[in-house]
Amino acid sequence: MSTPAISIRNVSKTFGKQKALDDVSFDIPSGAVFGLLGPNGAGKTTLFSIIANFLKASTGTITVLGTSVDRIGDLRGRLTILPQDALFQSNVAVREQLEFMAQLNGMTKPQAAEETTRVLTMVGLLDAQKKNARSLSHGMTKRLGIAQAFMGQPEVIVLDEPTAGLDPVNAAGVRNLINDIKRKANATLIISSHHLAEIQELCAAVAILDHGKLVENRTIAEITQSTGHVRFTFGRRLGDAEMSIMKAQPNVGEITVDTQDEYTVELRPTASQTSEQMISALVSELAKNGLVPRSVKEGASLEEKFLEVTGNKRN
Amino acid sequence: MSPMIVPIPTPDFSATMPQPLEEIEKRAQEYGGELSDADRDMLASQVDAAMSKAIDWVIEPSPEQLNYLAHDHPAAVSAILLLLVVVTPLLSCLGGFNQTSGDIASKGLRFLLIRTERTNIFLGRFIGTFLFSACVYAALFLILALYMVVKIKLHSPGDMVLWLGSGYVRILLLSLPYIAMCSLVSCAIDSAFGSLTISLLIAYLWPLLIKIASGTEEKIGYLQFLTPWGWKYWLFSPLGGRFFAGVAVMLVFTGIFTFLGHMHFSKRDL
Repeated sequence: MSTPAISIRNVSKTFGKQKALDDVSFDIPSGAVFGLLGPNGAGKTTLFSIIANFLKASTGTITVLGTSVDRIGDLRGRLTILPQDALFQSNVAVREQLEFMAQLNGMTKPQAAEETTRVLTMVGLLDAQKKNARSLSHGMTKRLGIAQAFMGQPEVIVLDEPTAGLDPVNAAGVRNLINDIKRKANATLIISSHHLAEIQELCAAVAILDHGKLVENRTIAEITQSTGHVRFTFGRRLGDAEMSIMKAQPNVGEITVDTQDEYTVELRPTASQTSEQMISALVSELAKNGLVPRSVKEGASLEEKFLEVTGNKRN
Repeated sequence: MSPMIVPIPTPDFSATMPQPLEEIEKRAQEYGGELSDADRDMLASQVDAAMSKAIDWVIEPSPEQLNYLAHDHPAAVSAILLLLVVVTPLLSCLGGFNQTSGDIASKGLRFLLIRTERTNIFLGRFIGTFLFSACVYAALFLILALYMVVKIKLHSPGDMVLWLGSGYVRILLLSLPYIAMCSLVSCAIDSAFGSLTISLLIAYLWPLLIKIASGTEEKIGYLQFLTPWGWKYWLFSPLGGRFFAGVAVMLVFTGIFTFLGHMHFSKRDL
């Protein structure tokens, strides 16, 4: 088994009397695009800050690429981060700041200049390279933060809410960048976002934090398919007789009416049938009774699962 | 030719503020004469006497130290240096209060923290602040030297420049512990304004309180030696041992403040 890119062991962090992280342990596999989810105040940014050694864990350890984050200098150029609310030097030109950071990463001056041009072009800020950071808009500042995070060839990239505050075009641009990195580099990306559809699109696995505790850590496929629920859309409201037909089918448990034409059916697992076989049999039986669903979707969305595990399940 | 008596304008004021010699020469011409070398010497001795009194009043030196400052070296330069000694903590605080506090507050350090060690950031900013201060003082001393050599002309240019150069080094030595203290305060307080306030309080309020308290109990005055302020005039001592002890104390204070600051900066949340 390969060494995880990030290994988090029994990490707790308290601020005064408030426990921001409570004994959190999990691994982030190498090369993964990993999502970190949680409601506001769940401890995501705190965990990211400890990974980047901005904050010191009260207890526990974190290793990145096999190196303790206490020796963050050894990870120079290998770990980068987009911090959530850090400000650039307000009165220094954008290019100058990036070139300085690139040189700190170990590049020579010409290499730093070339790399700065590359990342500024990548985030569409080349025209603003001579501007001071204070004259940039919120969205431009966010893109500048992304540019510095993508500089060089980092092996682990931590992005704390990379699309927050960006307009849809720029947000899509950032998602494209992340997808590019996924395709071209073997980097590990850890992303936090409140935009769950985005996480579902980008990430292979997620961890969910709630009140500082880890409440879920699985692949997105496992999370969304593990519910044993199938959602049928019929295009119209079903009558009582039709509902009875549904309920009469083998392996069908509770049926929930989601909207006017959407029904979530609980499938009871059996040892002899896979979920696919159960769904197929159910759809056939419904069709025989003249009930042809317009769409069938197995499992819950990430959002539903998120709301469930964080105790905010929708009625 | 006997020395010509040239009246120095506005008696008391002029006694403590040396007038540029060309002004006095102009006055001498108005009185129908010119300054001879003897006139110049006499003027210099008048100014030196006034400066000597000022030095005596400000720092209450031993006779040896007074002699060293007012007679062995140009007294006017000594007076300026002693004035600079008093304002050096202020200048150091103004130069050093925001070494890290502002960037801690804005979290701007976070872009650097993953690219270099905290030690590099802390010491880099301390050294940078000291070098910047050294440049500012160098410019200040250069202006002073030019003014004294070109305008004041009370002593030989060589004497004045040498003593100013020596004073420059001593002022820098005094500024070191104050800049180090600012490093410590700056990394401990997440507000640039708070850092400046605390630094100035340590630099000036502490000595002031000790001074006031020592009026009632003399032994309290020894508490002055808990900060560099209590040792500042040792850097202008004629006794080699005392001077070097003063230098050592400044370096020790610098070491302690830097060590404490670095320790705190290395462990704190940023």
